[in-house]
Amino acid sequence: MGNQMLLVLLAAVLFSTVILYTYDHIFTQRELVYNGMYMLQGQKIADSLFQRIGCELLGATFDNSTTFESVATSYVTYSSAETKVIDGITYNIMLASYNSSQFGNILSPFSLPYNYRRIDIWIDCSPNGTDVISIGSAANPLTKIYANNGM
Amino acid sequence: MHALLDAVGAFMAGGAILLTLFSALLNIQGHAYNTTMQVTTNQSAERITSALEDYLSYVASGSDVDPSTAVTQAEIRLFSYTGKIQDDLAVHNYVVMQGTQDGTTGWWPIQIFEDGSQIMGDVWADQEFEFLYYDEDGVQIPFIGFGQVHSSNLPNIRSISVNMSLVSRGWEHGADVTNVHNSIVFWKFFKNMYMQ
Repeated sequence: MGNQMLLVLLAAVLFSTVILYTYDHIFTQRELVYNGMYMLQGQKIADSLFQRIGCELLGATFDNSTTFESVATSYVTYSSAETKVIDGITYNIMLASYNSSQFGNILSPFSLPYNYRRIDIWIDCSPNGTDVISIGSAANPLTKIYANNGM
Repeated sequence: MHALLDAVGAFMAGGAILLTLFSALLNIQGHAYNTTMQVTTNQSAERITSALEDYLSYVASGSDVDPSTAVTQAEIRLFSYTGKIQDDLAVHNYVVMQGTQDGTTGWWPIQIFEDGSQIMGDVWADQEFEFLYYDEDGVQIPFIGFGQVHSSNLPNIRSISVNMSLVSRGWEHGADVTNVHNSIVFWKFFKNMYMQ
Protein backbone atom coordinates (compact mmCIF):
# COMPACT_ATOMS: atom_id res chain seq x y z
CA MET A 1 0.00 0.00 0.00
CA GLY A 2 2.80 2.38 0.96
CA ASN A 3 4.69 1.68 -2.27
CA GLN A 4 1.58 2.13 -4.39
CA MET A 5 0.86 5.52 -2.81
CA LEU A 6 4.44 6.57 -3.40
CA LEU A 7 4.12 5.62 -7.08
CA VAL A 8 0.90 7.62 -7.44
CA LEU A 9 2.56 10.64 -5.83
CA LEU A 10 5.59 10.23 -8.10
CA ALA A 11 3.33 10.11 -11.15
CA ALA A 12 1.52 13.25 -10.01
CA VAL A 13 4.81 15.09 -9.49
CA LEU A 14 6.09 13.93 -12.89
CA PHE A 15 2.96 15.06 -14.73
CA SER A 16 2.93 18.37 -12.86
CA THR A 17 6.52 19.03 -13.91
CA VAL A 18 5.73 18.30 -17.57
CA ILE A 19 2.67 20.55 -17.47
CA LEU A 20 4.48 23.39 -15.71
CA TYR A 21 7.32 23.14 -18.21
CA THR A 22 4.84 23.26 -21.12
CA TYR A 23 3.03 26.24 -19.59
CA ASP A 24 6.33 28.05 -19.14
CA HIS A 25 7.20 27.51 -22.81
CA ILE A 26 3.78 28.67 -23.99
CA PHE A 27 4.01 31.86 -21.91
CA THR A 28 7.55 32.55 -23.15
CA GLN A 29 6.33 32.23 -26.74
CA ARG A 30 3.37 34.43 -25.98
CA GLU A 31 5.63 37.12 -24.55
CA LEU A 32 7.80 37.01 -27.67
CA VAL A 33 4.71 37.41 -29.84
CA TYR A 34 3.48 40.38 -27.80
CA ASN A 35 6.95 41.95 -27.92
CA GLY A 36 6.72 41.79 -31.72
CA MET A 37 3.50 43.80 -31.50
CA TYR A 38 5.12 46.54 -29.41
CA MET A 39 8.18 46.58 -31.67
CA LEU A 40 6.00 47.11 -34.74
CA GLN A 41 4.29 50.03 -32.97
CA GLY A 42 7.70 51.51 -32.06
CA GLN A 43 8.80 51.16 -35.66
CA LYS A 44 5.66 53.03 -36.81
CA ILE A 45 6.45 55.86 -34.38
CA ALA A 46 10.03 56.12 -35.70
CA ASP A 47 8.73 56.00 -39.27
CA SER A 48 6.31 58.86 -38.56
CA LEU A 49 9.25 61.03 -37.38
CA PHE A 50 11.32 60.13 -40.44
CA GLN A 51 8.35 60.95 -42.67
CA ARG A 52 7.77 64.25 -40.88
CA ILE A 53 11.40 65.33 -41.20
CA GLY A 54 11.46 64.34 -44.88
CA CYS A 55 8.25 66.25 -45.62
CA GLU A 56 9.32 69.33 -43.70
CA LEU A 57 12.62 69.39 -45.57
CA LEU A 58 10.71 69.07 -48.82
CA GLY A 59 8.23 71.80 -47.96
CA ALA A 60 10.66 73.94 -45.90
CA THR A 61 8.06 74.30 -43.18
CA PHE A 62 10.17 74.34 -40.04
CA ASP A 63 8.71 76.33 -37.23
CA ASN A 64 11.79 78.41 -36.51
CA SER A 65 13.94 78.25 -39.58
CA THR A 66 13.94 76.99 -43.12
CA THR A 67 17.60 76.07 -43.34
CA PHE A 68 18.82 72.52 -43.74
CA GLU A 69 21.01 72.60 -40.63
CA SER A 70 17.94 73.47 -38.57
CA VAL A 71 17.09 69.75 -38.71
CA ALA A 72 19.60 69.54 -35.87
CA THR A 73 18.30 72.44 -33.84
CA SER A 74 14.62 71.74 -34.48
CA TYR A 75 14.71 68.08 -33.70
CA VAL A 76 17.51 67.61 -31.23
CA THR A 77 15.25 69.12 -28.58
CA TYR A 78 12.88 66.28 -29.36
CA SER A 79 15.41 63.97 -27.78
CA SER A 80 14.87 62.18 -24.48
CA ALA A 81 11.86 64.17 -23.39
CA GLU A 82 9.33 63.00 -25.95
CA THR A 83 6.89 60.21 -25.22
CA LYS A 84 3.88 58.79 -26.95
CA VAL A 85 1.19 56.83 -25.13
CA ILE A 86 -0.53 54.27 -27.33
CA ASP A 87 -3.04 51.79 -25.99
CA GLY A 88 -1.86 52.51 -22.44
CA ILE A 89 1.82 51.83 -23.24
CA THR A 90 4.33 54.69 -22.97
CA TYR A 91 6.95 54.78 -25.72
CA ASN A 92 10.05 56.85 -24.90
CA ILE A 93 11.52 58.35 -28.05
CA MET A 94 15.17 59.31 -28.31
CA LEU A 95 16.46 61.22 -31.32
CA ALA A 96 19.89 62.41 -32.31
CA SER A 97 20.81 64.52 -35.32
CA TYR A 98 24.31 64.76 -36.82
CA ASN A 99 26.10 66.58 -39.60
CA SER A 100 27.21 63.61 -41.72
CA SER A 101 28.59 62.37 -45.00
CA GLN A 102 26.36 60.71 -47.60
CA PHE A 103 27.35 57.37 -46.06
CA GLY A 104 26.20 58.41 -42.60
CA ASN A 105 29.67 58.98 -41.15
CA ILE A 106 29.39 61.64 -38.47
CA LEU A 107 31.25 64.89 -39.26
CA SER A 108 32.12 67.83 -37.05
CA PRO A 109 29.14 70.13 -36.43
CA PHE A 110 31.35 72.94 -37.80
CA SER A 111 32.34 71.10 -40.97
CA LEU A 112 30.84 73.07 -43.86
CA PRO A 113 28.93 72.73 -46.14
CA TYR A 114 25.98 70.97 -44.54
CA ASN A 115 25.17 68.59 -47.37
CA TYR A 116 23.83 65.60 -45.44
CA ARG A 117 22.27 65.07 -42.07
CA ARG A 118 21.92 61.80 -40.24
CA ILE A 119 18.99 61.21 -37.92
CA ASP A 120 19.14 58.39 -35.36
CA ILE A 121 16.04 57.27 -33.52
CA TRP A 122 15.69 54.66 -30.83
CA ILE A 123 12.66 53.91 -28.72
CA ASP A 124 11.91 51.91 -25.63
CA CYS A 125 8.80 50.88 -23.76
CA SER A 126 7.92 48.79 -20.75
CA PRO A 127 4.51 47.20 -21.24
CA ASN A 128 4.52 45.22 -17.99
CA GLY A 129 6.30 47.90 -15.96
CA THR A 130 9.51 45.95 -15.46
CA ASP A 131 10.98 44.45 -18.64
CA VAL A 132 12.13 47.03 -21.20
CA ILE A 133 11.60 46.43 -24.91
CA SER A 134 14.10 48.32 -27.07
CA ILE A 135 13.36 49.29 -30.65
CA GLY A 136 16.89 50.19 -31.68
CA SER A 137 19.48 51.50 -29.25
CA ALA A 138 21.97 54.37 -29.01
CA ALA A 139 24.63 52.05 -30.47
CA ASN A 140 22.34 50.50 -33.10
CA PRO A 141 19.61 53.03 -33.87
CA LEU A 142 17.08 53.28 -36.68
CA THR A 143 18.85 55.65 -39.06
CA LYS A 144 18.02 57.76 -42.05
CA ILE A 145 20.26 60.13 -44.00
CA TYR A 146 18.76 63.25 -45.55
CA ALA A 147 20.36 65.15 -48.42
CA ASN A 148 20.29 68.93 -48.62
CA ASN A 149 18.20 69.58 -51.72
CA GLY A 150 18.34 73.30 -51.13
CA MET A 151 14.58 73.56 -50.74
CA MET B 1 -13.56 -5.21 2.13
CA HIS B 2 -10.15 -3.59 2.43
CA ALA B 3 -9.39 -4.39 -1.19
CA LEU B 4 -12.66 -2.73 -2.28
CA LEU B 5 -11.87 0.38 -0.25
CA ASP B 6 -8.40 0.48 -1.79
CA ALA B 7 -9.91 0.20 -5.27
CA VAL B 8 -12.43 3.00 -4.60
CA GLY B 9 -9.69 5.20 -3.12
CA ALA B 10 -7.39 4.56 -6.07
CA PHE B 11 -10.24 5.28 -8.53
CA MET B 12 -10.97 8.62 -6.86
CA ALA B 13 -7.34 9.67 -6.61
CA GLY B 14 -6.61 8.58 -10.18
CA GLY B 15 -9.77 10.27 -11.46
CA ALA B 16 -8.85 13.55 -9.77
CA ILE B 17 -5.37 13.46 -11.27
CA LEU B 18 -6.71 12.64 -14.75
CA LEU B 19 -9.30 15.44 -14.56
CA THR B 20 -6.61 17.94 -13.56
CA LEU B 21 -4.39 16.68 -16.35
CA PHE B 22 -7.07 16.95 -19.05
CA SER B 23 -8.11 20.39 -17.83
CA ALA B 24 -4.47 21.55 -17.93
CA LEU B 25 -4.01 20.11 -21.43
CA LEU B 26 -7.16 21.88 -22.64
CA ASN B 27 -5.88 25.16 -21.20
CA ILE B 28 -2.51 24.67 -22.87
CA GLN B 29 -4.23 23.95 -26.17
CA GLY B 30 -6.26 27.17 -25.81
CA HIS B 31 -3.20 29.28 -25.01
CA ALA B 32 -1.23 27.75 -27.87
CA TYR B 33 -4.09 28.40 -30.32
CA ASN B 34 -4.42 32.03 -29.18
CA THR B 35 -0.64 32.55 -29.46
CA THR B 36 -0.77 31.25 -33.04
CA MET B 37 -3.71 33.55 -33.80
CA GLN B 38 -1.82 36.49 -32.25
CA VAL B 39 1.10 35.80 -34.61
CA THR B 40 -1.33 35.79 -37.55
CA THR B 41 -2.97 39.02 -36.33
CA ASN B 42 0.43 40.70 -35.89
CA GLN B 43 1.46 39.68 -39.41
CA SER B 44 -1.87 40.96 -40.75
CA ALA B 45 -1.39 44.26 -38.91
CA GLU B 46 2.01 44.69 -40.53
CA ARG B 47 0.69 43.95 -44.03
CA ILE B 48 -2.50 45.97 -43.65
CA THR B 49 -0.78 49.08 -42.31
CA SER B 50 1.72 48.86 -45.19
CA ALA B 51 -1.10 48.51 -47.72
CA LEU B 52 -3.04 51.41 -46.21
CA GLU B 53 0.11 53.56 -46.17
CA ASP B 54 0.62 52.77 -49.87
CA TYR B 55 -2.90 53.90 -50.77
CA LEU B 56 -2.62 56.99 -48.56
CA SER B 57 0.59 57.95 -50.37
CA TYR B 58 -1.57 58.70 -53.46
CA VAL B 59 -3.02 61.80 -51.77
CA ALA B 60 -2.55 64.67 -54.26
CA SER B 61 -0.07 62.60 -56.29
CA GLY B 62 0.33 63.54 -59.94
CA SER B 63 1.30 66.84 -61.53
CA ASP B 64 -2.25 67.57 -62.70
CA VAL B 65 -3.76 67.17 -59.21
CA ASP B 66 -4.18 70.40 -57.29
CA PRO B 67 -3.05 69.77 -53.68
CA SER B 68 -5.36 72.49 -52.38
CA THR B 69 -8.43 70.56 -53.57
CA ALA B 70 -7.06 66.98 -53.41
CA VAL B 71 -8.69 66.15 -50.07
CA THR B 72 -12.43 66.10 -50.65
CA GLN B 73 -13.70 64.77 -47.31
CA ALA B 74 -12.00 64.22 -43.95
CA GLU B 75 -14.03 62.62 -41.20
CA ILE B 76 -13.25 60.59 -38.12
CA ARG B 77 -14.13 57.35 -39.96
CA LEU B 78 -13.83 58.38 -43.62
CA PHE B 79 -11.12 59.96 -45.73
CA SER B 80 -11.67 60.82 -49.37
CA TYR B 81 -9.05 62.21 -51.75
CA THR B 82 -7.85 62.33 -55.34
CA GLY B 83 -4.54 61.17 -56.74
CA LYS B 84 -2.80 59.40 -59.58
CA ILE B 85 -0.97 56.11 -59.67
CA GLN B 86 2.31 55.98 -61.55
CA ASP B 87 1.92 55.42 -65.32
CA ASP B 88 -1.85 55.86 -65.04
CA LEU B 89 -3.22 58.81 -67.00
CA ALA B 90 -6.47 59.08 -65.05
CA VAL B 91 -6.92 60.90 -61.76
CA HIS B 92 -8.75 58.59 -59.32
CA ASN B 93 -10.96 59.25 -56.36
CA TYR B 94 -10.08 57.17 -53.29
CA VAL B 95 -12.15 56.61 -50.17
CA VAL B 96 -10.73 54.95 -47.06
CA MET B 97 -13.58 54.29 -44.68
CA GLN B 98 -15.05 52.23 -41.90
CA GLY B 99 -17.90 50.03 -43.16
CA THR B 100 -21.11 48.92 -41.45
CA GLN B 101 -20.85 47.04 -38.16
CA ASP B 102 -21.38 43.29 -38.47
CA GLY B 103 -24.56 42.27 -36.66
CA THR B 104 -23.19 38.94 -35.40
CA THR B 105 -19.65 39.71 -34.29
CA GLY B 106 -20.11 43.43 -33.58
CA TRP B 107 -16.88 44.12 -35.51
CA TRP B 108 -16.25 46.94 -38.00
CA PRO B 109 -14.54 46.55 -41.40
CA ILE B 110 -12.13 48.98 -43.02
CA GLN B 111 -12.51 49.32 -46.77
CA ILE B 112 -10.80 51.20 -49.60
CA PHE B 113 -12.67 52.27 -52.73
CA GLU B 114 -11.21 53.49 -56.02
CA ASP B 115 -13.72 55.38 -58.16
CA GLY B 116 -16.55 53.65 -56.28
CA SER B 117 -15.20 50.10 -56.61
CA GLN B 118 -13.92 48.35 -53.50
CA ILE B 119 -10.25 47.48 -53.93
CA MET B 120 -9.31 46.47 -50.39
CA GLY B 121 -11.10 45.03 -47.36
CA ASP B 122 -12.92 43.96 -45.43
CA VAL B 123 -10.35 44.00 -42.64
CA TRP B 124 -12.00 43.63 -39.25
CA ALA B 125 -11.55 45.52 -36.00
CA ASP B 126 -13.39 45.16 -32.72
CA GLN B 127 -13.21 48.87 -31.96
CA GLU B 128 -14.19 51.69 -34.27
CA PHE B 129 -11.43 53.09 -36.47
CA GLU B 130 -10.23 56.62 -35.73
CA PHE B 131 -8.75 58.96 -38.31
CA LEU B 132 -7.16 62.17 -36.98
CA TYR B 133 -5.76 64.94 -39.17
CA TYR B 134 -2.86 67.32 -38.58
CA ASP B 135 -1.63 70.59 -40.08
CA GLU B 136 1.96 71.43 -41.04
CA ASP B 137 2.89 72.22 -37.42
CA GLY B 138 1.67 68.80 -36.30
CA VAL B 139 -1.36 70.34 -34.58
CA GLN B 140 -4.55 68.26 -34.77
CA ILE B 141 -7.24 69.85 -36.94
CA PRO B 142 -10.47 69.96 -34.89
CA PHE B 143 -13.65 68.20 -35.95
CA ILE B 144 -17.00 69.92 -36.25
CA GLY B 145 -20.49 68.37 -36.04
CA PHE B 146 -20.36 64.57 -36.21
CA GLY B 147 -16.59 64.23 -36.56
CA GLN B 148 -15.92 66.16 -39.76
CA VAL B 149 -13.12 68.53 -40.71
CA HIS B 150 -14.60 71.82 -41.94
CA SER B 151 -14.24 72.21 -45.72
CA SER B 152 -12.18 75.40 -45.22
CA ASN B 153 -9.60 73.32 -43.30
CA LEU B 154 -9.24 70.53 -45.89
CA PRO B 155 -6.34 72.25 -47.75
CA ASN B 156 -4.47 72.55 -44.42
CA ILE B 157 -4.27 68.77 -43.88
CA ARG B 158 -0.68 67.53 -44.07
CA SER B 159 -0.86 64.17 -42.31
CA ILE B 160 -3.22 61.58 -40.90
CA SER B 161 -3.04 59.14 -38.01
CA VAL B 162 -5.02 55.92 -38.19
CA ASN B 163 -5.88 54.14 -34.95
CA MET B 164 -7.18 50.61 -35.30
CA SER B 165 -7.63 47.48 -33.22
CA LEU B 166 -7.43 44.48 -35.52
CA VAL B 167 -9.06 41.34 -34.21
CA SER B 168 -9.07 37.58 -34.87
CA ARG B 169 -11.40 35.02 -33.40
CA GLY B 170 -9.66 33.18 -30.60
CA TRP B 171 -10.04 29.80 -28.91
CA GLU B 172 -13.63 28.69 -28.39
CA HIS B 173 -14.39 26.77 -25.23
CA GLY B 174 -18.11 26.20 -25.03
CA ALA B 175 -19.75 29.61 -25.23
CA ASP B 176 -16.55 31.39 -24.18
CA VAL B 177 -14.42 32.99 -26.87
CA THR B 178 -11.28 34.97 -26.13
CA ASN B 179 -10.52 37.07 -29.19
CA VAL B 180 -6.99 38.25 -29.92
CA HIS B 181 -6.23 41.88 -30.79
CA ASN B 182 -3.52 44.05 -32.22
CA SER B 183 -4.05 47.74 -31.47
CA ILE B 184 -1.85 49.87 -33.66
CA VAL B 185 -1.51 53.53 -34.64
CA PHE B 186 0.30 54.62 -37.76
CA TRP B 187 0.88 58.00 -39.39
CA LYS B 188 1.08 59.04 -43.01
CA PHE B 189 2.53 62.38 -44.04
CA PHE B 190 1.38 63.63 -47.44
CA LYS B 191 4.49 64.76 -49.33
CA ASN B 192 2.50 66.28 -52.16
CA MET B 193 0.48 68.41 -49.75
CA TYR B 194 3.72 69.81 -48.29
CA MET B 195 4.79 70.95 -51.74
CA GLN B 196 1.79 73.20 -52.44
